[in-house]
Amino acid sequence: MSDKTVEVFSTDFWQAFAPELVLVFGLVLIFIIPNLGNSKFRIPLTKVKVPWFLGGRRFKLTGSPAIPGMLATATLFTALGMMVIETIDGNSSATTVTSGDVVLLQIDNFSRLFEIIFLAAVLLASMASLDRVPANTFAGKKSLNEMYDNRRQADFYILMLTTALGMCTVALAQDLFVLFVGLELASLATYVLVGFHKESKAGAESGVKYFIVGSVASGIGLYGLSLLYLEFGSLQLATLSANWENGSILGTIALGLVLVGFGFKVSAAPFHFAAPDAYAGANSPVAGVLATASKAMGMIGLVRVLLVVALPGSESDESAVWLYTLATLSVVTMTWGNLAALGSKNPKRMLAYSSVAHAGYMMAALTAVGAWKWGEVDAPAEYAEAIVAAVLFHLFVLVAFKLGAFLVLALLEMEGGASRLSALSGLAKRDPLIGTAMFIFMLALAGVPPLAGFMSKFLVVAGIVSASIGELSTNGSVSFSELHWIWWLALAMFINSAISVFYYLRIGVVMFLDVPEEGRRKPLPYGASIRMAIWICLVATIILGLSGDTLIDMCYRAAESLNLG
Amino acid sequence: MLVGGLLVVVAGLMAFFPSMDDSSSTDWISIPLVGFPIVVSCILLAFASQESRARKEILATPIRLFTLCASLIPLAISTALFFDWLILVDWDLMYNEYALEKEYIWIETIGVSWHVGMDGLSFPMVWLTTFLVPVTIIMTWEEKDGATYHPLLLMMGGALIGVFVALDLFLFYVFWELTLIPMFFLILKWGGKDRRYAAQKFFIYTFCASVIMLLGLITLYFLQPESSGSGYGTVTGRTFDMTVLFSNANAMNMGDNVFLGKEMQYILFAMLMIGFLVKLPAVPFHTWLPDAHVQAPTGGSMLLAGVMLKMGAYGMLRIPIAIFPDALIFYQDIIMIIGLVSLVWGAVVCLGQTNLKRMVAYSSVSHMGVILLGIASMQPIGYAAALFMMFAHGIISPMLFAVCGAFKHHYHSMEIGAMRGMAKWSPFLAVYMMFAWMASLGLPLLAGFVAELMVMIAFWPEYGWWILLPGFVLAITAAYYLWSMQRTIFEGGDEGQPPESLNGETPPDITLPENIGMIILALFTVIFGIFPFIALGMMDDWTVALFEGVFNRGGI
Amino acid sequence: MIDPAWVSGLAAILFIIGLWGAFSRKNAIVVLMCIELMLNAVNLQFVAAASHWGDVTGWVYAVFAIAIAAAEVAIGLAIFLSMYGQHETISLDEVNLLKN
Repeated sequence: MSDKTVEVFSTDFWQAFAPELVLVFGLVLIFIIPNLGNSKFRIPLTKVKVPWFLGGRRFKLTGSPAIPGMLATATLFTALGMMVIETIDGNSSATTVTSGDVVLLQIDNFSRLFEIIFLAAVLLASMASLDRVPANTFAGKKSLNEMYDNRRQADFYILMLTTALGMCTVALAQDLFVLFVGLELASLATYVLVGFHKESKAGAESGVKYFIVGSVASGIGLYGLSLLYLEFGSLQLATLSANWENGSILGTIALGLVLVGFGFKVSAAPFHFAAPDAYAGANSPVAGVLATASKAMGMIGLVRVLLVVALPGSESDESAVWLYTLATLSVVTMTWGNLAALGSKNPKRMLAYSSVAHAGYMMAALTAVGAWKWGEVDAPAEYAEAIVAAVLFHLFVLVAFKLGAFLVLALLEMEGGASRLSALSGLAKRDPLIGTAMFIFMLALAGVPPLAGFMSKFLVVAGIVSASIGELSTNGSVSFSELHWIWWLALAMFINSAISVFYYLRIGVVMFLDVPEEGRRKPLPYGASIRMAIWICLVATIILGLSGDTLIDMCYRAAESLNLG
Repeated sequence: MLVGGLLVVVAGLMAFFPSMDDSSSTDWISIPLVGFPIVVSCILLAFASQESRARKEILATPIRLFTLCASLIPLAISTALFFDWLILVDWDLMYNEYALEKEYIWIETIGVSWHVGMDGLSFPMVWLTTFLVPVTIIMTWEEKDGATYHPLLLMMGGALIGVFVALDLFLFYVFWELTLIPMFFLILKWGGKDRRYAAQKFFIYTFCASVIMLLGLITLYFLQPESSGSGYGTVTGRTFDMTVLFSNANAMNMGDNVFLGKEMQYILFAMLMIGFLVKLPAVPFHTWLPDAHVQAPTGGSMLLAGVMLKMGAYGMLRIPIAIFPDALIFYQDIIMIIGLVSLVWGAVVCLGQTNLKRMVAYSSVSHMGVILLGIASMQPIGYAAALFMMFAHGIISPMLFAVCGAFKHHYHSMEIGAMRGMAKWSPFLAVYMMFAWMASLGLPLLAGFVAELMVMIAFWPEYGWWILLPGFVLAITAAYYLWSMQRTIFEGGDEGQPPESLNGETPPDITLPENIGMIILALFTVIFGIFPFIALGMMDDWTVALFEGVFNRGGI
Repeated sequence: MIDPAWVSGLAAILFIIGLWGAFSRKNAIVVLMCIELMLNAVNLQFVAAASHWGDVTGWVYAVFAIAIAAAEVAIGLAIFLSMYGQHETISLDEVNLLKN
């Protein structure tokens, strides 16, 4: 197969976008099916009534509150399956969608890999939500919470699917504005998801905080886009990157503003303040999606803008400024995240801060690519691709262990809150397997071999170190001062991951040593699908750590399709 | 059930080795020594964790027995490999040659392979590990919650062997970190009062140090010349294979040429050494050790002191010293000073302790200092001495901790004051304790003596009269200890009062399993004291090969 | 015809006012209005840039930006309403349950 270009809404277009269409189709089904009923439509001016099926008395079968969740899970599973089958055999062809001479979307290994990350995260979260936001039959007397849950089933899964769809758009976009529209689609849905439990004070509050910070960030990002458009007359990635060298200072300012929008999504310092509040108030599967898929979405933005559009060229002095800024921000982000996590008593906030720290690690990797891109490091393109591939690998395996940790918290939320560290106490005694799973997720987050978290951190650091060494090694004798300063970023990363061991271990200690709280002595509630989701995460954490070759290959192909060189 | 299970395991092993006679294609390391203990313990742990408390009590004894049998298999294999019962193994190896070498590609993209093999450096440690695990299991037979305790010991053993047989930097690091997890749990679940603090301190200290080591390893990895072929990463063009690294480094360390240049050698050597010195541990990185030992259960302490500390010395000898000989010369005096300080400091602090286990822990620090002195001496005999010290201390210190554990078990106290008149109440325990201290302090005809004497011999040509310092410290502390021990253990009980910690009960003597374990350890201490050449021959060969291969070149 | 530069300047001023307001004001509704102000600045900027380049894409972008702004207002008001239901206030200062 070779690369091809298709016009939007042509036959080829529908073929290429089959997985995304499945998502849209599923979304429409969730709108329609719960509303099926026996209503009739009277043709105006006559007495003829035609069955119309929407509204009226709902049918018992289709009106069941369990339907939307099943539909959403099945839809996501189908779409994910289609993508994986398409990608796993190393399909290297790219499909570009144009409208006239405007390039809108592009399916290649890079976008497909990200779509797989998004769909996997949302799929696991909606599997978990089948138990976390449980659907009951309408029969019998229900508590208020159960009634609320029942009524909101369709809303919840519609929002989940919308998030997934928006994220896929971001991954596919070849035009910065299209990218931003996708980002907004996903963000708007997540604002609502964060504040979904509006009956709780924490839910409402976190919704408001997340919404305000998020929309200010996206407002700034959009203004940056409009300035970019003013400067270059187009927001096409290809055009921007071709004309970048000729841009004025306005372009640089605009780029900075756009980065604010993405920086919020990856929860990089100094835009990370909303993340802990949002995660703490949201229910855990949603928080897990925010920490994995939403972060990956922000990373796409950063990669597209920083690496594809690129910053000032090698000759310009400004490149150094950018590089220093990015490096400083990455170190500040990872250190701040870890230090804040040390002081946090709430496991969800702790995971939020740890996700801030992980954002810092990935920004450090991007700095290394930047150093290569801006000619500070003398190395062939494979070095940069290796780092990008490592970041992709990291984003992928985050879905396994970070989401897994959130799902364990979701299991605890089913019997009451999980917002205190003591909620976890004695977990290993109450349920040894779940406790062990949580401990393994923690070890993976800390980067202990042979788990996936170690592999990803290892690859990122190896990438940074390789770029800092570059082609120096060929002449045998190297002086330490010849290494590029990004080597110190690798050291900062490792020192930070050593700090992070403190709080990850603390969770393990609490689970294995402490006596369970009052009212939490019994075994954990049983939820078949959430437990299955946790097992999937656990198996992936271990397998991807032991043998990640297939995934690493996929990530390399994805990085190659970016055409960095 | 037990016999059936064992039969299944043996049958599985046989199926894995269809050609027992074809020695070249038989993998005696991966599955029997490393994979088998880890997998069996994982299965047992999963099995034990599923059951209710009542079922767990019933299951404890069968699981214990099964674990013991499972731990005997690696011991049998490693012993058989030494005596050439299974296949003929040539232990007389050149530098960078390994017996029973096996390599399987693991992660192709970055050049990681499952590469294992043994030589005179690693085989004694491997045998020691396989030997200590069953002894530890016997010693701590009555430990509570045995259904998970003993499998963790087994897993620990597998991971430790993995460290010693790994010939791939990545694999080495994976096992290096893997040993932390069972030990963390052993301290956390079976430890003393402050176990929470001790377990975390242990984990964090060693983890922090080893990430710095890892950064050094990664930097080293990328500084290698790029190449391609089997074992090389398809993407990175480098390999984590130690043997390739050693031969590359060796080839470039010729004459005035220096692998990677001197400055880079110094930095990388320091980065790697931080990881190893913390693990060893040497002063000033030693503070985790007393805490971990005091809180750890007996079995944990035995493996920790017996094998885990040696990982540090092993790592030093295996990686940085072999590839950065110039840096070793540069740092020689610093290593000597660290070793001397560890030795003196450990011995002096040891004198002031009232807690028996803490005292033993500091004596370990002191002995690790002896190993560093051997390395700093830059004499073949010093290296052989360091190796033999690792081995001898690996038998003696578990015995000391076994004695401490038995003392704690029966006297419910760790205070030395409670030992008063112990010989009267528990003659066996008193004799073992006296014996273990004698061995630890290096009395002639016991294993520790040989190593200390050899270090002193090696120390002389390099540092001259400085020898008086370690010599006097060793002699004076030995004399002081034996005198005070003898006074407390044998003379103190004249009043006929049992120690207060027992609330008036008559202290019992040690149990049968403890007796068996200690006899075995004592026996081997004597055997290796009288016939050190059993192990020393192999170590000598390795040392000579190392000096021929690494140090004998134009530059030095 | 007005020079697009003037329009851009106006947009910049609007954006800065909006940004400043969003950070300094405590009333959630006012903050939402400030965000809208920022988005309107974006629209103006797109339109101005479109007429500067004589390119129709800018107009399309502006239409999309208006749609995004509308969706944001709808969602924002709904979220504020739920906050009012729980906390009986829309002042952002008084909503601070979530802590370490």
